Order: sequence, then structure tokens, then C-alpha cells
Amino acid sequence: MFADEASSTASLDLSLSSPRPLMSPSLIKAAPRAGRRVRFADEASPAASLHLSRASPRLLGPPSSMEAALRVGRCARFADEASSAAPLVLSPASPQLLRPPSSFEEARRAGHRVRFADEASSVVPLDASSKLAHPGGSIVSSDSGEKLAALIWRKRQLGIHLTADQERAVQARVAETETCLAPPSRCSGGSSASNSRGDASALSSLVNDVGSSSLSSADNSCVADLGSGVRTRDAVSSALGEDGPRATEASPVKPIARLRLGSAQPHLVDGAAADAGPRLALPGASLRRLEPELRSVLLGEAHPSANVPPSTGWAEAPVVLEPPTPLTTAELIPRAMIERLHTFRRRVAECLATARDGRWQVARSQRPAPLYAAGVDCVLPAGRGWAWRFDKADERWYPLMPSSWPSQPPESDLDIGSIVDYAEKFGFPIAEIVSFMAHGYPGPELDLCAILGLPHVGALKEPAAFDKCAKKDRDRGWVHHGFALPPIWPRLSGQCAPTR
Amino acid sequence: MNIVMRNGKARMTIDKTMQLVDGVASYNDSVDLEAIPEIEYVKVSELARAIAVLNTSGAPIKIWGFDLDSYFRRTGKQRAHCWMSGFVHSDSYGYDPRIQLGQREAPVLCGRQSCFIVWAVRRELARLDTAYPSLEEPVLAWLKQRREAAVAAGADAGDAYRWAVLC
Repeated sequence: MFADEASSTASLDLSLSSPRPLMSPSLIKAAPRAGRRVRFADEASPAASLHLSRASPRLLGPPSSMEAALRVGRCARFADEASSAAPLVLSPASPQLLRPPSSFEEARRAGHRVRFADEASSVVPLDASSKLAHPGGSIVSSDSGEKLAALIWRKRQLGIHLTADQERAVQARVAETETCLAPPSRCSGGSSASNSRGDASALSSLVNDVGSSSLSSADNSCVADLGSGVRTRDAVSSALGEDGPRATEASPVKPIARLRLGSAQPHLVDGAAADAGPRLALPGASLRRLEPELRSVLLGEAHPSANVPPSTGWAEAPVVLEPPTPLTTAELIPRAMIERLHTFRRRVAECLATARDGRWQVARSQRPAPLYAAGVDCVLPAGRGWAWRFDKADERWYPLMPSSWPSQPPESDLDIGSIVDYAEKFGFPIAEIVSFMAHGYPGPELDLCAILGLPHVGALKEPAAFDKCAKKDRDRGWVHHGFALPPIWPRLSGQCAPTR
Repeated sequence: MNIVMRNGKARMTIDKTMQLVDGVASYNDSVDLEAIPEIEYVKVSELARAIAVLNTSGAPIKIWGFDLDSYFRRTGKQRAHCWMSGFVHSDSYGYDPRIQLGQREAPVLCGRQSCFIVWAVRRELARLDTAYPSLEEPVLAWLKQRREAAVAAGADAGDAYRWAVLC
């Protein structure tokens, strides 16, 4: 069976080293799969089969069990996938890369690395003059004249009629060419060697041939040369009115044949209107369609005004009221509420423990319902109207007083003193955010109540990651934890906990 | 609590938008973003044009930036509002006095905080321009041209960085 289905190399190895016939039914079922994988690897990549048969003969040995057969098939499949994704990886020149990738993802990444390296090494050097608007990048601005000529050529090849704008553009180009063939003083600066009598005659024939279904080869070549090269492009664009009315007496049609470079619709009669109106999405739009901006425009253009919010004034910290005296837990929280809080925490712990066992679906069903209590229900009369903070030192509850810089700054890593001094010294106009940094970011105005959310399914699916993130917050001192009851009461918590 | 995987890295997030109890608005639903001044961020296209403008000077152009680790978490919350940021873990209760990823107002406020950083950076760049002016003739000519363009455009002193910055 192996000899029939597997490649010759694989079957030889298997038959020679197999001490006894393959009798196990499960093995017989698994073996053809392994053989097929090896055969596919062999057929797909000679290098891979060479590696499998010589460098790792163990892989092609007879599977002694179902697991061995599956392992053979798996290794062969990885080699197969690696060879199809990245043939260079399996070349004999890089023996360290000849190992079968440990996973399909690795093989895919290896393939990407090879492809990207190949593409990076084959980049055509760019003409610096075409990168004016995109320094630092590899974006190539297209030659609008060349594109126009190509478009016209393609349409003519396919027998598609030119639009009126395109016909006018061609006529204008013909007129410009004829103008350039006149005395040099009348020609705009972009005339080039391609502006020859041959071009003019060919273009004239092209214009006269508008509507016909095909072009001669001579016409095609001439039209293709219409916009080749920057100088020719300049000639075309100037002839079509890119830089304003440089019309000559010989080209009276130019004003209606303006080509608006940089516009989404460069062939519209009124390019300004095209820019002012809503732009149409270009099918297959690419950055390579962008045109370099004129230097004269850039020199007179200011940098954008950004990251400047409106000026605001300093916001004072919340008013500090006369605080009530500290309370004990029994004086602050109803006994029934204490029991509910203990139960809630235990159920959350059970839920998270189940999630850590890998049974996140079960943990999801174990989640307790959110705990909710209105302000008057969660706090005894002595503590109503305030939020309270538990102090472990004397195990009493103190009213939660607002933070206020400089006397009672919030917990943060900011050097608030330096920030405030710098902002005041040099006149930072947005003082409100500085005051927020100093006093602490305020939240919305909410009525006091207690809502305790439950763990999100995402945390149940990734319990190890959750524990790691929670530990990180704790280790950095960004959270307060380790309380049998909520350390601030009443309190809100979303379907969640600390974040980063 | 929620865990979101980003680029193979786990991030703990908090859902402060979910309404857990009928009739009680969530934290984020209570945030009035309209009352917070907007920030006009720079667009990629504007950045590209700014680079193109600088490129007309003929000087080498380099784009740079920096990232602040755990930016939200460095900033503190108003203590009087910390009761809105509680949590429960498997071993205990706790609360979070720092800005949390999930607060609706946090991106805007931290963005304004970033504006302060941008403002400070611009000040320092202007100071460096003054302390160590360019000696290259083409650059000096470019700066002169830009200042003239600024005057022609009616720019005031506050817009100086938009016209004649070099760094």
C-alpha cells in the first residue's frame, strides 16, 4: 500500500526498515494518510523530499503506532506547506532553515520574509524629482501625460470612443506639438526630443481617426510616447493648462482642455469645481496616483494647525465640605449587604477558578448576577451622602475627600509641580487640562450607588493573561487591592476591573 | 474584566459602557463628550504636506516621534470620583485611582494632555532654532522666504511655528 501511494523514496525507506507487516487496523488507516502527505511533499518540492529522506530519515521510518503515523504525516505536511509557501527556505544553501517549520504560521512567516526581502531588493531606483511631495517614501508620482496617452491608446485598442474631454486633450496636445515645432520662442519650456514632426503627424492622424476601432502600430507607438518622461510630461501638462493659461495663438482650445493635476477628476473642464465639490471614490485608487505639488505652492503654504484645543481656564478642585467623623464597618454598611458582598466575591472567585481550569463556558454560566444597591440601601444613615474609604490602619471608614493640588494631590506618576510651573511660566493656553492633571481627572456626576459587575467572557477565556495583567497593575502600585470588602463604599465597577 | 489580545499581547480592558442594571445609566453613558472641547488632530495628509513644505528648504527631512508607556495609567483620577472605579478579583476587592482604558472621556482628556506635550516640544524646537541657527545659505534663504510668506498671509506671532520652523 505504501509502495503504491507514497513516493519511491518514502516507500523504499518504509519497506526496508519495517521489521514486520503493518497489521494494526488503526495503523493501516493512518498509514495511507502519512504516505499521501509524504508523496505530496515529494512531488511538490524535490528539496523537501530530499531533506526528509536524507537529513531526517527518522521521519520516514515505519510508524510503529498510530501516533507515529500521525507524526510522520504532520511533519510531511509541514514540510509540504513550507515548501509551497517559501521554496527558498528549503534550498540546500541554507541548511539551518531546512528543518520542517514547527507550525504552519512559522512557515507562512518564513515565506513572507523571503518574499519581502525579494521585493525590497528589486525596487527600481526612483527619480528624485518625482518625489517632491513625498520625501522619505517610495511613492512614485505618476506621469499624467503618460497615463492619459495610455488611456487613449487602450480605449482605441478596444474600440471605445473617447470622451469629449479626452478628444479635446488630444487636440490640445496636437496643437501644442505643432506650436513647439514653430519657432522656439513660442514654445513652452517643456519641449523635448519626442516633439518631432513624426509625433505631430501621428497625433494628427489620431485625432482625425477618432471613432475608428483600431490604430496602426505606428500610431500606437507615437501615442505611447506622448507623455513619456518628465520633460514630455511637463510639455503635455503645460499645453493642457496645468500651470495656468500658457496658451499660444496656435492652440485656442486650451482653456477648455485644462488638465487639473492632483484633482480627483483631472479631465473635468473646471478643475477648481472638481476640487471644491465632493470627490468621487476612484476605483483602484492608489497612492501612486498622487501628483507632486508645485514648489511655488508649497513655499507659500503654512504648516497645518493641529493639536491645538481651544483655550480654557484653570479649573479649581472640588469644594471640600466639612467631613463627617470616621465610622466602623458595622456603622456604615448593613449586615445583609456585607453578606451579599462576601457571597459575591466568593462566586467571582469560583467563576475565575473554573476558568483557570480551562472551562470558560462553565465559568460563564457560573457568573453571579450584578450586585446593585441604591445609595440609601447600601449605606446606613450615618454614612449617607458620602463615599467612604476604608483605612486598614485603624479599620475605620473615612469620607472620601477630593484630591487637590498641591495639598492633596491625586495618585499619579506625573511631576505635577514641574508641569504646573512650566505651563505658568511660558503661558500654556489650555490651563484646564493642566488643572486636571494637577487635581486628578474628574469623572461624570453620578448619584451614589453600588453596582458590582461580573468578569467578562474575554477574561474567562484568557485567565492566565488576566492574572498577568492584574499582577502587573498590582506590582506597579497602580491599584489598591487585598480588601475583604470594597475599600471604597459605595462603589461602581463595570464589567471589569483595572485596565491598561 | 476583559482581556483583549492585540498583536499577540494581552491587554486588560474595562467595559464601562455596558448597562448592568436597568434604569441606571452606565459610567460612559453619563459622560457628556459634547461638553469637552474638541481637539483638531493632524491628518496624515497634512503631515505629508508639512514634510513637502519642509523639503522645499533643501535640508534633510526626518520624521520622528515617541511613545509613552502606559500613558493613561500615569495620570491620576480625581479622588472624589474613585468610587466609580472599583473591581473585584478572585482574592479580594480593590479600586483603581488611575485613568482606565475604557473611560469615554479619557481619550479626549489625555489627548489634551498630549497637546501640552506637543506645545512644550514646539517651544523647545523654537528655542533650539534660536540657540543654534542654521548656517546654510539655502536654508537661511528659505527661512527668509517663509517669513515673507507668513507676513503676506497675515500670520501673527502665534503662528510662527507654522511658517519658519526648521526643526
